[in-house]
Amino acid sequence: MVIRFSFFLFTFFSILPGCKKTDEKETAWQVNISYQVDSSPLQMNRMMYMCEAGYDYEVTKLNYYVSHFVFSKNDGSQYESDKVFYVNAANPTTNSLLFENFPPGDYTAVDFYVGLDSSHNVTDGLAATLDNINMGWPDEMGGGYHFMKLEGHYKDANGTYGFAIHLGKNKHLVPIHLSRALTVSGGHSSPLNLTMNINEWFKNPAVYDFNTDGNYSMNNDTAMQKLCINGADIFN
Amino acid sequence: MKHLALLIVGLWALAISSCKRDSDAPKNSFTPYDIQIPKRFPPMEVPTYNAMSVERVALGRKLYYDPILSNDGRACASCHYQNMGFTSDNFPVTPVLPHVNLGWSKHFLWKGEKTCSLEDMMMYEVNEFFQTDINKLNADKTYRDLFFKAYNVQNITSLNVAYALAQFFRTLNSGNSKFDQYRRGEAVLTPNERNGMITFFTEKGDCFHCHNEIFLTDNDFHNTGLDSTFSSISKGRYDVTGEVSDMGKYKTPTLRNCELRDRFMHDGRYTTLEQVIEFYNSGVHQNSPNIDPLMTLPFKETGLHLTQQDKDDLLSFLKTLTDTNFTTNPDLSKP
Repeated sequence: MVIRFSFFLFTFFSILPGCKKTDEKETAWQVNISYQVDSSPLQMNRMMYMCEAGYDYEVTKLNYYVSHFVFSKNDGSQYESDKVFYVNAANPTTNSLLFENFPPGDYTAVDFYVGLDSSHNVTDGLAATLDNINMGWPDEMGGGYHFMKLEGHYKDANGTYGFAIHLGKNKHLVPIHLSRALTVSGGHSSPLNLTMNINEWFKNPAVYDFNTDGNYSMNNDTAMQKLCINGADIFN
Repeated sequence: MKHLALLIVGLWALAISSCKRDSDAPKNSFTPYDIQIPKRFPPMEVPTYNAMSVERVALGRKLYYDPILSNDGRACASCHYQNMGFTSDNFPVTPVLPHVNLGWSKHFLWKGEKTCSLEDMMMYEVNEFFQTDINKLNADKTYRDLFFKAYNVQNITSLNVAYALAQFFRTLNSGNSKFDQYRRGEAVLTPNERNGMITFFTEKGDCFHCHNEIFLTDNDFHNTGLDSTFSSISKGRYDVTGEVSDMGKYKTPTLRNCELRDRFMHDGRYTTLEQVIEFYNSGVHQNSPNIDPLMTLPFKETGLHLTQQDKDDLLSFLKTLTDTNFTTNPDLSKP
């Protein structure tokens, strides 16, 4: 009898730790992105902003990928998501990034890329969608996808010109690191709200000058590299 | 008394059985239709309220070629010839965009006058463009039978007509050109075609930003610098949105089967592909308001500087976008 009771207790306490508590179940959780130019909300197609180099400018297009999200806890454990998000700044639905199966917990930092990790950055590496097809980086230039298309017009003393900041190729990933206290519970949790400051692409640590660094980054690895380094702090 | 009760029940049952509702009408079983999606193309969204069937596609095809749609002898096929990739040189005002791969499109017509589903677009065609007289269709026994088979209706409505047309449009898919076959490893390009492809898909020609390699259109709107000023008649997408930044923008036409056309640009100003290439090589109006930023690359300020050989090669490549499987497919021809 004693043996049978001991076996029961052993079995009970062996199984107990394996039972997840309700509030530990994976949950849907969201990251929202908005846009500013320094302290002003971004309005597309409005020549009303000034970059660090001193030019008035407007944004006509901002399409990009974010991927390889890693959420870290104080104890060193991490939740890594393999989700890839296509974002069009002009399309609100694409600016809400939904993680369907997010493990609840208290997180202290998030890391991700603006762009695609090398496993996805190959021709047909993403699902065939209209957006992904439009972001294609032709095989004739190495294949894969554009990481970002930031386009618009700017003015200097002599006139108005176009600019197109296109990033691509594995070496031009933009790593983002944000220290942020995040509590995600099994119930309703506040989303993580991120704001991209467009002007941060053009300053800090280096001023990016359309006239001297290039108003087009295509075929210009030096320009792309400078933008990648500046891009590390575009989100807050 | 017992007999009276039986009589009442009998009369009641008789009355019920004689009330014929639509749902009591004989039902047809539809034959599912699998859309042939070309390799590397996205899945096509089909609304559940208009699920694909063989009967519906066949009906839409018949309607496409039948002038019964209009009151002046025109059918869809009057301006959209299969042997020209479902466009034509027969247009009253502006060149007609080709009916190809529209199952993946959300914006329709040159200025994007319609942003909607194919079904809604077809409603526009039926009710506004053709102003179809539904009575004519209801008076036609063949159509009554076909609509009954396809949609289980005994009274044809404009909605039924639009839905049937949308079904046929979802079968007008082109994705088997020589270029497609090359990308799939099934064909080899000539050296000239390959040189042209490199010009097309690199910054040298910079065609690919608007003409992606699957649809050969980005389904978006651009001002490519055709004009430095805009006419009072047409200011492009601005006429739809009222946004100043949309002045001079028109929908990017697909280049699939462009070899078979003889009118280019939204107003048909060019009649050959050579003229189109030369426009992009040396004729872009850099001072056009709202010109697309991609049209003013520093090295483009004085044109692309393509040599005659570059231009010839680019033309050779554009001809590899012709899909004769599409232009001769008997399933798409006049029934």
